[in-house]
Amino acid sequence: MTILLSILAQLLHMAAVLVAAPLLTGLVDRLSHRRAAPDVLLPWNAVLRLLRKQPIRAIGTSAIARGGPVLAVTFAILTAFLIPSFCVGMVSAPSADLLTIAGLFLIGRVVLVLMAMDTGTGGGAVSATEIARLGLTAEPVLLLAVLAIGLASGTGNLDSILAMRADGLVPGTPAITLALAALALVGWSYGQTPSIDAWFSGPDLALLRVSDQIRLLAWCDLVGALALPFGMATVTGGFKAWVIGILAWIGRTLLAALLLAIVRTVGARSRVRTVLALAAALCGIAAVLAFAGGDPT
Amino acid sequence: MSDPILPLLVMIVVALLALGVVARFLAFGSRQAVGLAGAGLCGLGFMLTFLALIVGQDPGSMALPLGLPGMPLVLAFDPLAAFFLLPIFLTGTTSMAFAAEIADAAPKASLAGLALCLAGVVLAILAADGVVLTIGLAMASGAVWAMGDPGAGRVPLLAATGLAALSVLGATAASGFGFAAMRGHPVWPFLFYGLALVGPGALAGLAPFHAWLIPAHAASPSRGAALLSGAIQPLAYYVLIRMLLDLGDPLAPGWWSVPVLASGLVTALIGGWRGASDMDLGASLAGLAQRQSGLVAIGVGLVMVGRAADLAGLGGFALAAVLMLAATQTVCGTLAQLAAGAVQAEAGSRRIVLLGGLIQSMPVVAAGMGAALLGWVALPAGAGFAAVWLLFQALLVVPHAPWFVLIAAGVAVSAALAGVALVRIFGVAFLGRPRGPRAAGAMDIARSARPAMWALVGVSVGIGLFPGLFLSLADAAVHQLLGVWPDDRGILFGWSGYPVLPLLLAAVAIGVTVAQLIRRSGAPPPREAAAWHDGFAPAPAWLPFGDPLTQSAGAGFLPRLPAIPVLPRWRWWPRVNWGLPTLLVAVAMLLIALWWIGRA
Repeated sequence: MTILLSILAQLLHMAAVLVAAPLLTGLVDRLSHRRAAPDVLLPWNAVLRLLRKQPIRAIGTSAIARGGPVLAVTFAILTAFLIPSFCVGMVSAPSADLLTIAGLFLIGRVVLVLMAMDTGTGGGAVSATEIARLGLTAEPVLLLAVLAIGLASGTGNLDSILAMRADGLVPGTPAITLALAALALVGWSYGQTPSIDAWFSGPDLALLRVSDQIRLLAWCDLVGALALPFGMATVTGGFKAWVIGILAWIGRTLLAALLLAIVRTVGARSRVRTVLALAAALCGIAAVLAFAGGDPT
Repeated sequence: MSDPILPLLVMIVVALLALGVVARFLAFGSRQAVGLAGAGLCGLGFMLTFLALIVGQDPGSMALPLGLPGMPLVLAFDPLAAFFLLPIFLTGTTSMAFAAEIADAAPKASLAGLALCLAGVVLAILAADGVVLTIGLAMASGAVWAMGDPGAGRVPLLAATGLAALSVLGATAASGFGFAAMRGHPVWPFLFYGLALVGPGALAGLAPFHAWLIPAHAASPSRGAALLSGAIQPLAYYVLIRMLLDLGDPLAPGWWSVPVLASGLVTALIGGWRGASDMDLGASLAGLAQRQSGLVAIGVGLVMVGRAADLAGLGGFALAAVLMLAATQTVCGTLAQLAAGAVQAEAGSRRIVLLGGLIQSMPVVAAGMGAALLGWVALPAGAGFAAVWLLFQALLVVPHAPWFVLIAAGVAVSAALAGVALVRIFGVAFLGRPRGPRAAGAMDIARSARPAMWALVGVSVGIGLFPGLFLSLADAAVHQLLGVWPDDRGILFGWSGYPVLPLLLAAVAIGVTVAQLIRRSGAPPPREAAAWHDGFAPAPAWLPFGDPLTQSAGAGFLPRLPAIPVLPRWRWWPRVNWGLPTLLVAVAMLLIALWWIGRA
């Protein structure tokens, strides 16, 4: 029975994430425009429209550019598969290793860079270089933050950490708080990476956009669930707990959209590198605190 | 079980030696015959070693009927040696087969070098006393040295080898050379520790002796560079592990790990930076190899921390990471440098700014390079990720001390640098448009040489996909070094832990579903058109490959690493290569050590 429930929860989770990912982006766009605001459903419409268009590919691009969009969306969905939204104990729970999740975020970035290089254009190369250079700061912060969270909570499994957080077993130590702040800043930097949309069209472009949207939602889920573990359901918690969990997840996602919109309007001019340096500093302090802390058990 | 295997392995060493001598000095035997004979010998060795690892043998030793009276030369075959021999024999087989099929300027001489180097490496790994180990080291490095072009780049290799050989001799001399007698309690353990760190560390390219490795790669032909990366460096790791973890004092104080960790940290960062910034393909790959040395040293240091703190889990994770890194380095180092050699032969250059678009003209070489890079860097489903994952697991159980943050941060930064190196090397050299006629007209390697390259690709990818299965081959070695059997790898790499296989299956399922959905979405089939250059006019007729300036040259990712003067240059001696002073210092150290021994 438990296994059936966990499969059901996983399916519900995936469906919810896939439906909500373009909506989150649409909502952030809607909230960050005061006048002539675009429709919340615009990203969904764009994706559906692009899927019916004829893709145009640059002469001389290789299998990397042809298969890249599918790869990008695959890794994004896989990342979302591992990060719980409303309920812990899903089928993917034992596999939800934080380092693996970090690795999946990294590989998504690598696919983007390789696709941009494969276009063989100046603009693509500039975007690729910029994405790779941002990754140089963001990725160590991500890995170190993951390590700090793991050290402070005594396990590297996201699902266990969330379950313990929901039960109040892992208090919000300064290390975890700082690491989460660093993670949030890194997530913001992911949103600021240069776009490589100009060299792709049709379904390829649709997949690229969807992968970005899923990754953004997965990131919000990761930081949100770790920061505000309230209402997180368990698989066997019953119908009521699931409803509460879904409502809590919707609330967290709305809050994330609001914060993202505020950051976009207020902090549009702030340099990515400055923010990443701040994230690195926070993360460094968090890691020192985590390493200096007592026995995690 | 080991009783019949060790003599057979010794016979393989002798046969490889004979093969090398025949190929070098005698006129008969075609290049192909020599290569295939060598491949057959190495393949036999691979099967024997694999059999020994599967069956699980008792350590066996034998004394050679050679050597000074009262001091015979001793060989031994134990699980640690078997685990290191396995990838060496594998890459030996494939590079011999590869060399047999690929013609280049000095074919038979370099085949002789290959055979002699492999014989030396196998001899050194089988050695059970300091003298045999030194002979093997000298033979292996000497063969690579003899393959290089005459020039300045060769001297440092000689210096590093000399330093390693003298350190091994000096460290074991005080205890009477035999490993069996000194195991666990060498005479003057601190001197032993210092020499064990300096000599093999220099050969592995660890800071502060890191400066020679990349120029030495650049000065060697591709086959020599493949041996440097895929045989000499793993041999150096082996000697480091053998001397520090097997022969050294297991009750050493914890601070002994600090120099190892610091040196590994600096090396991992410098190597990653060079990999992400050097404009030469071979040098970038050598940088990645050097980063691997750094990670190995960090792992060895963590094992020492674990032993000092009596944390079996820490030691187990770190040792598994070290063994994985060493085996990966053997496979990926060989594969990457062979692929780089093929690129140089076909596209005419190793400077990445002259390449481009090679994935279209050389798909097999591109697959080889991709697999090698995936094995090195920390991306999921690659062997490098499994190794870094194990290192992070070790850091999760490390005794809580703030300075371990430096190690963690270093490993994380080095992982990011390696990621940039991957996208830069592969993106600039293999993707995009060709930057010149040679790159556009490159041909893939000969059909007959492809199986060798595909075999290496398969092993490199296989280690990444089945890390648990691969590490189960190392269980006996872990038991030999730590005295405990490791936990079930199924827990680490099964459905929980780092669940590579389930995630891969899930990825395949998701990818196939997405691709099918796209196919049925009703979009017309794709159309090809000229690339969009942000509205700039198409390139004029005299630039048939487009304007080369409109593609990345690979220089914008990271600035060049500023030269850090680690070893002071001797200014009063003009035009001196610093390798020679190192050698002189080493000789002086050895003389002092011998005087000390004689005095006592």
